Amino acid sequence: MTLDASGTGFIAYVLAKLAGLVGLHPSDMTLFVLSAIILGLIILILVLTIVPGFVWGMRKIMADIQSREGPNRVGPFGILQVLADGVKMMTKEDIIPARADRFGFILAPFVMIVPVLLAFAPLPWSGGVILSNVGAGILFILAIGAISPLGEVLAGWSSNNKYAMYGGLRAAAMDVSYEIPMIISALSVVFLAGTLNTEGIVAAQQPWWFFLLQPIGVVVFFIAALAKIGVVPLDLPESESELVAGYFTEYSGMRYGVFMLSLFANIFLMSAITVTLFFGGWGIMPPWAVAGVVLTFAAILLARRKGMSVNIAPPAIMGTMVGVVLAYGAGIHGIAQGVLASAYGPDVAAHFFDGTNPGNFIATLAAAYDFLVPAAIVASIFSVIVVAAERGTRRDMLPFPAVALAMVILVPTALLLLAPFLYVGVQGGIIVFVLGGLKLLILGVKPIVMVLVLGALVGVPLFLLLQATNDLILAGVLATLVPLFVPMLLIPITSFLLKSLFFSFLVFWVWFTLPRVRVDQFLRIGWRTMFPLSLLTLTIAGVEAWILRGGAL
Amino acid sequence: MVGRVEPLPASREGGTRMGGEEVTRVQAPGKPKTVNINMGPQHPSTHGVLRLKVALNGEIVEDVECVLGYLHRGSEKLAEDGTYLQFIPYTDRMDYLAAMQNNMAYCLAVETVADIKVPEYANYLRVIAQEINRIASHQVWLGTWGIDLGALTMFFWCLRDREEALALLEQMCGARLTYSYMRFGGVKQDVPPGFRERALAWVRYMRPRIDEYESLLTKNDIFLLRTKGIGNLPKHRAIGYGVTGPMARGSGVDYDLRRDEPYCNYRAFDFDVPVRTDGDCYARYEVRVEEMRQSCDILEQALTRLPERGPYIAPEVGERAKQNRLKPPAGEVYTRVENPRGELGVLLVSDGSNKPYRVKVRPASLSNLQPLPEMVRGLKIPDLVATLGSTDITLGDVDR
Repeated sequence: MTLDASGTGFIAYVLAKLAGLVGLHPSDMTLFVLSAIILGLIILILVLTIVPGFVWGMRKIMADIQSREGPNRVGPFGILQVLADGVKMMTKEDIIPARADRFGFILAPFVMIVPVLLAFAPLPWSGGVILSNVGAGILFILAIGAISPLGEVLAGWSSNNKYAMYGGLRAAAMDVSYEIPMIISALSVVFLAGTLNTEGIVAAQQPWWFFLLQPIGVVVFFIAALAKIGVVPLDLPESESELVAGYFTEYSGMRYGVFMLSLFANIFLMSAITVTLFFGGWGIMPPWAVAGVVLTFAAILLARRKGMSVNIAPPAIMGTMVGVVLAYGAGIHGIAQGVLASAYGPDVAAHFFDGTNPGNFIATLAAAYDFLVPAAIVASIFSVIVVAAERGTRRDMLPFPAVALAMVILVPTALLLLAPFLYVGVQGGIIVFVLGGLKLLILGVKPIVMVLVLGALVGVPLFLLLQATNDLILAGVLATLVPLFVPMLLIPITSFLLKSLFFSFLVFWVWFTLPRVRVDQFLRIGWRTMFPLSLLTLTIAGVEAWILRGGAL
Repeated sequence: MVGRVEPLPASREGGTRMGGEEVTRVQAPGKPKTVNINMGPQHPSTHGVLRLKVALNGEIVEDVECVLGYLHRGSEKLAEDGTYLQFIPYTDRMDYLAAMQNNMAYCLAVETVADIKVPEYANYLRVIAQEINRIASHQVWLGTWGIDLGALTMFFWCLRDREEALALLEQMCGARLTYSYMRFGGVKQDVPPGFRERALAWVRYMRPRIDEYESLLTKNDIFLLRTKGIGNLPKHRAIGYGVTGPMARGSGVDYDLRRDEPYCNYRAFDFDVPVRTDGDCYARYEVRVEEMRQSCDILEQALTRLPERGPYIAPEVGERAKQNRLKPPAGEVYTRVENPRGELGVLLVSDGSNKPYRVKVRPASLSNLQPLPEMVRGLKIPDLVATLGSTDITLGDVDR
């Protein structure tokens, strides 16, 4: 079993080593299946832990937009409200209407949620961290995702309620209107990337993300994604003020909870797909993107100076997080380079970070930091100014960065404890750990220090354990990966999560700002506007692909 | 296709019906295609216990029938059983979002039949109370209409600012919703010290807030799509139905009792009566938002001109128990005031005793609701909700 740069590969490697400890020698196939199951569980748990955080974040964002405090009773800053709601829903009476179609009624929530969870499979979280690298990944996502509306229709029909029936019929009518523009605009990305594979699409976007080449496509895709999620301007199947609760009017208790779960999982999924297709996937922000963030903040500040009411806190916090992560990555890179140079000489260090090895994504990534440092510093300072300007008036938003950071850092860390890479020796790693820890303590980035301490607590025992096998390389890796490579690996995942969270935030923003479109108006928009636009963007993509490949297809 | 829906034969399964919903079956196409849906009395957007029997052809509303009476409490009959004073709390509960105007309409009727002169200071307090109440009422309307249209945030912004209005009214009369503030010949009590400054501060705070409300809706494409040309009510039909208030002014009927038949001392204030001629939901929205601004103007004038102190109730009537002993001479009057929904009239018959012989209230909401079927016929379900919301009815006012 060779070690490669994919999550499954690494887990298989560790499994083989651990099995060797107890005298077992499983076949490659067994290892592959086991590692795939483990990674699958990790991503499933990741998704299912993100969703409650999402609900809390949504309620806080909604409350902030609406001049309220939001949940603040259960747990600190109301974080445990989601838990309380979950317990409430599970203990509620589970009502199935007497004249409902029992089979369909029970089946419908699962028809809704299973495709959403399945569609996470081919999403690349980071280089190699992918549950199932399906060859035609994007096709898989779109095809699986298209099953969900059937759940809506089924729920509407089986409830035996006129409101639910109307909701289900609206879902069916909407589905044919947005699905086709959505697929065509995704197809334009496939044209540009030349592959249906999600990893390939992400790789093809360095350094120019596709939304720059496909500005129309991304708008069409995002509007279609909004319709697929079903939030307010386009929540026609549900449309509370008209159809009570639409297709899930008759649902109660946890069955209702499953619909909610699928709604939020869908918000995250659609954001993640938008990021994967148009915004570089897990790719790090190129300098132009950092400049874009800075310009956005400048525009918001200017708008506020002019007296426009722009809600600044959430974007400011997003910006802070981007800044912190980038600055952190930059700092780690600097330390790592110094240590490597002292340990192995300047040649090794230079080669390690110059990005000449395209397969080594860490190297590519690290090379990016050299020119990212100034941009990151600017972005951080800018964000800090913005947050400082808001301080005092926005006390209710203060826990937001902490929770968001915990969400985007702790969860991937847990994931990445299992995914070290064989690049640094023992001494180098220990020096890096000490130096890095010291520097971060000085910087006072508490959550990240906590991550490091946590990592050390796991890493050192592992090192002692694995030393017994005389496999010093593996032991060294496990002991050093936490201080050095967790952040390194963290950055792509964090980048992916941050971008996805930004789009989820956009969904929430739209949700709580716009009125609802009428059903026939949306159908008209879908067929008369979005469909021709998607064809247009497909044509543009063809021309662009032709130019990019030097006149050959 | 949605075919005609028909009750299932009762033999099937024999389960109980849930939630009163009729068990339905879709029939083959080719037969009459009407689906009958009950919207309400428990429905998110009927603004209370209104029941609409809607006949639908797909999404298209073929006919609507308003079923009233779910909130009927017999207020008018109750008036005959108590003294004149004892009816005031009942008026609070008729149009609970505009209790000040209800108090006013009833007190105006009693004052007219008993020929009581109201002191100037009391008139100022009455105008201030009514205009604060008018803004608060329009805020509730705007917020709930926002929810009808799917714009959730509108509701919270409106209620956030309404909170201070209620606090001001609480300072005036001690209650936040059911004020019972007006008395025959004046008001219940004087305002506390510092009220003028606090109210003026609120008025100054409200003006930019009204712009803020507009920034969320007025130029929003989706909002325009949803409201322009929806729920049309032509001028002659508005007059025919006896529609009044912002709804009539949205249809081009230039009629506002505060200007055309002034009561209290509305004659003393300088304000515009916004009128739009389109007669659609958007016109009604524009009229009401503009009215909030005009109310701010009136409030500012009234608060700056409010005398330092003065008699807040007519001395010849007196306070408390004396009010209860009021015996107007026999007679019959019809007086009316402009409440946030339109013309609120009170027909009062006095037989010379200490109890009213008959009180008939002419609410604005009832007449404003009547054209609903005509306005929505042929539109879609969402338009029905938008149009119903734009009529700004209060079910307590419709049923009494």
